[in-house]
Amino acid sequence: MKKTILMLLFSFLILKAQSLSEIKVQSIKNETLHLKELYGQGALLINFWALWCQPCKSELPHLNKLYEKYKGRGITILGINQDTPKSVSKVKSFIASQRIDFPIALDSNFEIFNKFNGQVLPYSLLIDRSGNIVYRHTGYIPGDENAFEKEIINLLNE
Amino acid sequence: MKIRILFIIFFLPLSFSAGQISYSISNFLRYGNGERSFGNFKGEFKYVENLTDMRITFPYNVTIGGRLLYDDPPEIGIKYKGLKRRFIEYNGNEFSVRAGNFSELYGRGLALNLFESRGLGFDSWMDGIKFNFRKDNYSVSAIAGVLEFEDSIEIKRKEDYKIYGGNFEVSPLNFFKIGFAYIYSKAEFNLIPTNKNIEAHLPSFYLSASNDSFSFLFDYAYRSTSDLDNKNKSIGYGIYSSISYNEEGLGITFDYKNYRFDFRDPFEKNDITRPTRALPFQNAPIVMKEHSYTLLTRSIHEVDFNDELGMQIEIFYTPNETTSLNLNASVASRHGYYHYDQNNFSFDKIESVNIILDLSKNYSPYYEIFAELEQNLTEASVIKIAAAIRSKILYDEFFNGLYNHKITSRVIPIQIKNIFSSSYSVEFDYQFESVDDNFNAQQPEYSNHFFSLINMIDQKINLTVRYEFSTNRFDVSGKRFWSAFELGYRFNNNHTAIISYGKEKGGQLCSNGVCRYLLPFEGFRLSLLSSI
Repeated sequence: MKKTILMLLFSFLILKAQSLSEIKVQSIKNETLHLKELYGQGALLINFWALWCQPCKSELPHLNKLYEKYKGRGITILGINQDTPKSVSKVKSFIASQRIDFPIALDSNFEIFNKFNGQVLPYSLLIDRSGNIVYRHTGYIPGDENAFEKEIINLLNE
Repeated sequence: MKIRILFIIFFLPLSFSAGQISYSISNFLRYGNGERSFGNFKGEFKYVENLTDMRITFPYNVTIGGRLLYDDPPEIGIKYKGLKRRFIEYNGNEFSVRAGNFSELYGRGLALNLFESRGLGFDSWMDGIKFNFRKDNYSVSAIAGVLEFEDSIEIKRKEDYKIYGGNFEVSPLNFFKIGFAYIYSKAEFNLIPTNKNIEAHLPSFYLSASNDSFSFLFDYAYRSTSDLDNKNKSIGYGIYSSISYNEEGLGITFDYKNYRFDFRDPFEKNDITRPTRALPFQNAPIVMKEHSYTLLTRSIHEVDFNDELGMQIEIFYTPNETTSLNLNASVASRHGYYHYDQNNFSFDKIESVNIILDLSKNYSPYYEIFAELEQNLTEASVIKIAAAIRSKILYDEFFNGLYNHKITSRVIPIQIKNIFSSSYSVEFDYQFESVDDNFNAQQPEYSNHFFSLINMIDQKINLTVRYEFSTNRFDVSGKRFWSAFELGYRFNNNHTAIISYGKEKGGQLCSNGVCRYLLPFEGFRLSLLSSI
């Protein structure tokens, strides 16, 4: 029995892992976004944020500038909002008012946040075109956007 | 045995290195050592919390994970040492299944919203099995399991729920979605001197419609709770609705709530162990502004899901790249009140059959108006000025309004941030609050002042000084001045450490309608966050 289980496990292991490929999120525009399709274009920067989080709101315009600058080179930014049902109805209004162009998804019960073992906000992850997380970043201090840009350029140069 | 050893030695590391198994771990350590006070009562207080979340994802989208928790004692909540959470899940393109601990949300949470807030010591995650199936324009999900709910903050509460439920959503048109959910729960409340047994049924439905400019949502839940021991039945409902209009630079959202899950007389209302009140797995929207300014996060109003009506409007307006405006107004009241009949020594229920709230004092009204302007002065500096007024009357039903609690608070926060260079920025924050509180009988009028100065250096170091004082000579902490120093350091992108020392005022913090009074603390704190 044990041998059988081990054989089965081994047969799983020789196959390629697809840890992020099946993750889907619902955007505020009612679209289903597949992470695989987003990072498959080149790279994906995921940013977890919430309306009650002041540093998150300070960070969003900088991420929007990065998005405008690099979207033509295959880099996508995905904002995943962490507001619970108590505030989630305001997310679309806030995004419209701030003229944020990159896609925003909702994660009201932290399902996606938990999948990435998030603990505090803002929380950002850079994923390469193979689906590997190459960079993690917690918190926001003015100037952090330069670190994101540096990592994006590193990925583009690889 | 040999095969197992060979597997561990060769295949597992090979698989990790080849990227066939991915893993992620995060660890959050919190330690505090000092003194907590309540009035003249002081006591030494030390807490140690360590939380390790881990996930290992195998091929074929199978993930196992868990949380190792060491809370001995935690700052808020109940002691726990061991494996707090564990799960195995499969995530396919259309189908996912998870066995173990999980959270879940149906609609806007009127019937089911399982969530955790460690800051408030609240955890309503279930242990059981859930599955989801999503295809084209419809989805189905189901849950079955147990919720062992414990709350040690106000009184030791231990409630064991068995919960079964399902949710069906269909989107017949691209812009329109309708959903149905049903929850059945049977529970045992461990109370002194006897246990209580209840049974609850919660059917609900919701619908939403949206396009680029408009969004609309309506959510309704009905709840019938039976006290199986006394054969009593309580029937209630909740309604939540929101509508928003958005265009470039402007967003307006209007929300409405009507929660009448368990409207009770004053004695029963104040009995937090009564089995018919809103259940811990129900957490609906609060329809109030969530603040990030310190003095405004200290809530003066606690949402009552059993009996509350309210509405809110929020406007975000950004006329140009340098100016942002945020306006919010929210109001709330109860559905009715009880009049004490002194001749018969009984309470008479007076309930208006309303869908529109009543702001007369008998209905315990609450309102808040908030306005904030954010203006970029230069490319490197920004100023934020806000003003808020909050007012609450808590009607005294025992003495027919003789001892109503009236509290009004006016808050003005000012925040200035300046980026001197790419490696140095400063943020200064001053908040002023003027309070009228008739229950602070010897000094009903007083003011609170909060200052903070944050220095952010080289994207690594965060130096913060906080100072707060109150003119209230009768503050619950027994103090009038609080000051603290905090140093944060990022070791690299994966590790952040924060140490602080000083006095903190505490206050009432609320999340999802759950409120806790955090006691004043004086001493040393350390937190270390790691994520790999």
